[in-house]
Amino acid sequence: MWLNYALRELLFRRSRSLVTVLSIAVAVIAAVLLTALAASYARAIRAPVETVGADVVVQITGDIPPKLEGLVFPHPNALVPAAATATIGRMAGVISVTRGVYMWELAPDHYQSVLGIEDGEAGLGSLSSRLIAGKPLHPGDRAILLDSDFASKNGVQVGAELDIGGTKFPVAGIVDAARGGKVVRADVYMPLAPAQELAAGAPMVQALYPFRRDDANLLLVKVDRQTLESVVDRTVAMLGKKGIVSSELSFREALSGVLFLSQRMGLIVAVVIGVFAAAFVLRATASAIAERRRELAVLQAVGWPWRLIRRQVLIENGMLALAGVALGVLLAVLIAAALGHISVTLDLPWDLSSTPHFIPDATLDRTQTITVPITVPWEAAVIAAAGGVMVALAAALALAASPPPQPWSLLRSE
Amino acid sequence: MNEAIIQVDGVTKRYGTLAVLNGIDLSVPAGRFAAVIGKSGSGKSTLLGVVSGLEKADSGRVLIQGHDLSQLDEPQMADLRRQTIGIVFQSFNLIPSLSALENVLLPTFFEKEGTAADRRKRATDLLAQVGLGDRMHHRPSQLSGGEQQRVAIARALVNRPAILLADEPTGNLDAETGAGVLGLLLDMSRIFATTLLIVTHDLDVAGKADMTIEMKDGRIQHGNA
Repeated sequence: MWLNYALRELLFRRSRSLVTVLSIAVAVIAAVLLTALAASYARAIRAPVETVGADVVVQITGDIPPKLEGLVFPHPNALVPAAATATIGRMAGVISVTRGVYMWELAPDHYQSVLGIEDGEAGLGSLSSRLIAGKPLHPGDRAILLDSDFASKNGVQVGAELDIGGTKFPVAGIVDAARGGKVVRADVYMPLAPAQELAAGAPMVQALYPFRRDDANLLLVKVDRQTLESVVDRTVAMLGKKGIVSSELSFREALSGVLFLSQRMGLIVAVVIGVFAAAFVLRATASAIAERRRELAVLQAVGWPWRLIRRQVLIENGMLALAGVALGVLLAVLIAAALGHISVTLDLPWDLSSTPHFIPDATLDRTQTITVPITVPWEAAVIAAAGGVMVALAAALALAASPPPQPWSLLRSE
Repeated sequence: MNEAIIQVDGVTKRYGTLAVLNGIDLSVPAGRFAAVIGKSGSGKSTLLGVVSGLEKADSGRVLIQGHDLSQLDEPQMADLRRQTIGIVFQSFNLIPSLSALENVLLPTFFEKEGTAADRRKRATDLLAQVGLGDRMHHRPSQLSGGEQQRVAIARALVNRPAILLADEPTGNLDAETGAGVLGLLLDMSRIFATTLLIVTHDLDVAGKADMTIEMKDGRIQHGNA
């Protein structure tokens, strides 16, 4: 009869029940949707760096070579000392460090960017996943992969040869440029060893740095996401002012306006709505109890102990809360499905995919639009649901804490 | 004479500066029909509240079947009311969201003895006895005043209480209906061998009582048995 009586009572007071259910539902919708949006934005700002299979890109600012000819290091890609690479590799939370050599080849009649990269998830493995023609590269290969845009612009196909720094390399495959994003994007990709050889033999590299055959000028670091911030902080501290340490944190700063809206503001809005909803629930419960003072006195008169009357009020509010939570989650899922996705356009810093300013053909559009589906974060839904139920139960407990002192005054004839 | 089932000794009650009960002493033997009469504001309804335990006396003591109400905590008081006291109110005080049958079942809700089916049968039998066998699934709003008071009487008696308290039970009914309800109340209390303490301003009702207590200004003016 507990549930039967509670259900009858709630249906009998439809308007008040509806207000309570809707208050809880609105709070749940707000909490779930705002969390979903914040999670989508967070995924969006991770995307640029993630597309290269890493969480952090480490570079060091260098100098401009005396002559801009042949193979040169772009100025954000100075030699990264081997000691620094080793230190980063030993940092707590670092899963892997993939070394790379990024170069421009400048000639009177052409320009191409070249990236030599180690094997691994953030290196050759990442390229393999974007292969659209030919075959993947392996660490020992002396072959190259071409960016699809570069290949089509220059009419180069798989099997052809391309001159890089005076050495001819066979084209093993073509990679999909669009899928690769624009971070550390190059026209030509090769295993690390031949790139190191080319750099070690390049006069305009050697003019600035004592680059040897096992050095690198770019690190792709994969980290345990829990430790991202501390790894970035420690790397920045180690490299000093010349260090360029890029991660989703850089994009978070760049997009502070949008993210403020999506995360902090979202949290603030969710909390404000939650507080209002709690106030509504409290008020609705208080009104329901006030309206039912006489009814509760009747229950006392027929011998219901107060703790069981309070349990009845708890059950009623619990039912309202469950209805509100169910409605809220359902509507949040439907709204998220209707919205579908968010699109964020990011301006990538030049450092992350440098091209020579003085060669118009080399100019790269550095805006990247990232589309991320809005998915309901179930942890947030569970927390919002638990919050809704707790608010409703707390309201019932607080307002029905003790029996009215003189129930007879509500029931008597005089 | 039977032993007193209701014993009130020196009970006082004030509402602010207004003294409503001024040292009431009252003894009602088991199985008797006692009527409390008096003008409005004489304290008769407050006396009933104090006897029911729903109103606390400022001083003095109330014994119900030998239990001193001032010594009982809230759950014990609820137990005593559920098992020993049935109350019929002037304004019926039925739960509007529940049917007549469910209203009658309310006091049986925590009964540990017997099955739910037994309790339901007891309630339906009672409703049939008060003439509502065919209207037990109606809500209070679908019943007339007289029918609602019959439901209230059935609810008061469903746990076979030793004491039935009635606070102006015919006050909200027209004369004919009131007479019918009163007759039913008296019949039922006789059938169930219940002590009946009724508050009324109707002298005809008082005339049928075994004992009459007349109250004025919070004092018992006159009592006869």
